[in-house]
Amino acid sequence: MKKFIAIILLVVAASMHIAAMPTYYDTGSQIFSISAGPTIPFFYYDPGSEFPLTFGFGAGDGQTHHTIGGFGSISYQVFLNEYFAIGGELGYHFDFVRSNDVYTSVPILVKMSYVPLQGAFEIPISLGIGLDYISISDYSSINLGITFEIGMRYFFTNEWGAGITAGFHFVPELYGFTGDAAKKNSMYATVPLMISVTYRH
Amino acid sequence: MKKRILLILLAILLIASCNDSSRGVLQWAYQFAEEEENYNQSYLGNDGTNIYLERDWDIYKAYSAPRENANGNEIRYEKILESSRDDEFPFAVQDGLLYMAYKDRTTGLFNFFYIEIPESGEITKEAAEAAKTGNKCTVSGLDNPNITSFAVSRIAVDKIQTLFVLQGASKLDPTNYAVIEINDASLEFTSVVSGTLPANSQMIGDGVLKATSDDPEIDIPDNMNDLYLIEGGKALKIHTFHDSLDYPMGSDGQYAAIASGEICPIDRSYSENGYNGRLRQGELRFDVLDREDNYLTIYKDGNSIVGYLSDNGIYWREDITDDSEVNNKSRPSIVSVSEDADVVPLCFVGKHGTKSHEYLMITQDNGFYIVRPQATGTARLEKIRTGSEYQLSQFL
Repeated sequence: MKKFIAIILLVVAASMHIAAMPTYYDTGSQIFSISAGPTIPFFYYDPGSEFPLTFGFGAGDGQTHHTIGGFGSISYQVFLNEYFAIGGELGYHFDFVRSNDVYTSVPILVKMSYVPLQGAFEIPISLGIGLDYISISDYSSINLGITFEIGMRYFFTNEWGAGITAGFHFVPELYGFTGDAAKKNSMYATVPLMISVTYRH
Repeated sequence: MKKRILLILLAILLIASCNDSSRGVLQWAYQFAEEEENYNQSYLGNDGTNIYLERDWDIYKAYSAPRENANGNEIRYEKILESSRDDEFPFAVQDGLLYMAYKDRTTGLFNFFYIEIPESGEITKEAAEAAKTGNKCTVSGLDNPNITSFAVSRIAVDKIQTLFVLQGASKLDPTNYAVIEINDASLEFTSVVSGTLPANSQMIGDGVLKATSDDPEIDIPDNMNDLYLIEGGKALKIHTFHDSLDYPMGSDGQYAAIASGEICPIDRSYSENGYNGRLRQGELRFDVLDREDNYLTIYKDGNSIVGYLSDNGIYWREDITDDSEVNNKSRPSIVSVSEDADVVPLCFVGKHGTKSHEYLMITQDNGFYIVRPQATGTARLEKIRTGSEYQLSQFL
C-alpha cells in the first residue's frame, strides 16, 4: 500500500514538472478511446456478513466469490484546456460467481482526464463518476459508479495511438443508512487491466 | 455545484432503494456462491411411479428405467419444472398435484397454488404461470391469513404438513405461527394448530421456538433465552438456557435437542433413567434444530428421533453405555453414505416392501438405500437392488 501511495505521489510530482513542457492539446481537442482487458476482483465489503471484507478472486471464506472477469469501454472526451478533458464513458464488466451465474456491471460515467505528459508518449490520469447498472440472474440495481485510471499510451502517428491502463472500478450499492435498508448495503471493487486504442483530433 | 452533486447522489440512492429484493444485488452474487456450495435437495412426494424431489429450486422426478446397453434398471432423474429462485417455493407433491408457494412482491405476502402434473411429466412455464392465478389454494382456520414468511416442516410422515409464520416482519421475528395441512378433498389448506408466539420469539425447528424477553416483569437476564414447545395449540415454556443454541457438532453442524423437556446439545443427549445403558423406545423426545433454518429430514421412532440428515451425511443415534455415568448417553454417529463426502443424498422416510415399519431412506444416483438399525445401537446402510421396477416400487 505504501509503495502504491509513493508511486502516485511520484506521478503527481512528475506531472507538475512535466506540466511546464510544451503541450499538444488545446481547448476543443477531442480524444476517442476503446479499451478492453481482464479485471481482477479487489474487494467485496458487506458489513453484515460473517466475513465483512473479502479480497481477491475465489470462492473461499475470505474471498469475494467472484472470478477474474473482463471489462471493455468506449470513451469520448473534449479538452477544456491544454491539460484537462471531460467527456463520457460507457463500459461493460462481467465476471462469474461460483454458481456460474454471470455478474455484469454497466457503468455510464462522466469522465475527467488530466494529461500532464503529452505528445507521442502520454500519461493520462482519469476519474469517472456516474451511474452503474449491476445485475446477476434476475436481480439488478442502479448505483453510483466510480472509476480511477492511470495509463500510458504511445501515438504511432499524429492521430492514432495505443497503450495500457490500470484502474480501480468501485460500485457502492447503497439502499439507506438505517433499518432493513442498511442491511442491504455492500460494495464491490475490481481492478481492470486494459489495453486501449486511441484516436485524437 | 456541491448541491448538484448531492442531488445526483440522492437520486442514485433513491433509485437503488426502489429495488424491493430482500438482499442487495452484490449480496445475491455472494450468496449464490454459498448456495451452490450447500447443495439443496429435498423430497416432495411421490405418485406411485415417480419420486419427486427438489434440487436447487428446480423440480425433478426420479424413476427406474432399463439401462441402455446393459441389463437391469437404473435410477434416472428428469427435470420437470424450472422454478424461480427468488419467489417460488415448491413444497409438496400429493395425489398428482405439485403444491407451490410464491411471494407476491407487491404485497409481500405468500400465496399458494397447485399445478397438475401432466402425463408427460414436464410442466411448462406457461402452465405453471397460469396455475398461479387459476389454481389458488386458500388457507382456512386463521384469523389473519397474511403470510409473510414461510417454511416447510414435515411434521407427519405420511401427511405433508406445513409450518407457516404469519404477520411476521421477517422469518427471524415472527409473531404468529400456524401448522397447516392440505385438505385432500377441497385442495385447500386447513390450519390445525395456530397461535401467537411470545414477543421476540424465533421459530427454530419443528414446532419449536426460542424466545428472548425484554419485559422487565419477566426475570430473564439478557443473555438467557426461553425454549418453547408448541403442543396442543399452545406454546409451552420448557426450558430457560444461557446464550444461544449454538452447540458445536462436527465441523459445520450445530444442533440441539429437547429431551424429556430439557434442552441439550444432541451430542450430549441423555436418557432420564438410562442407568442400565439402554434407551427405551419413546423415552426421549427429540427435536433437531438447525440454526440455519434448514429443516432436516428426521426419522422418528415413536417420539424419539433416531436418525437425521445433516449437511454432510446421515447421522444415527448411537447409545453409549458408560457405567461411570449416572445418565448414559447417546451421540450422533455418522453413517457412511458415499465415498464422495460432498454428496448429500436425498433422504426421506418411507416403507420398505410390504412391511409396515418405516425406515429412513436414501437415494443416490447409484441406487436406493435404507438405514437399518443395528442391535448395537448404531446403523448401517443397506443397498436395495435397483435391478427391477418392483424393487423401486417398494419405496413408493
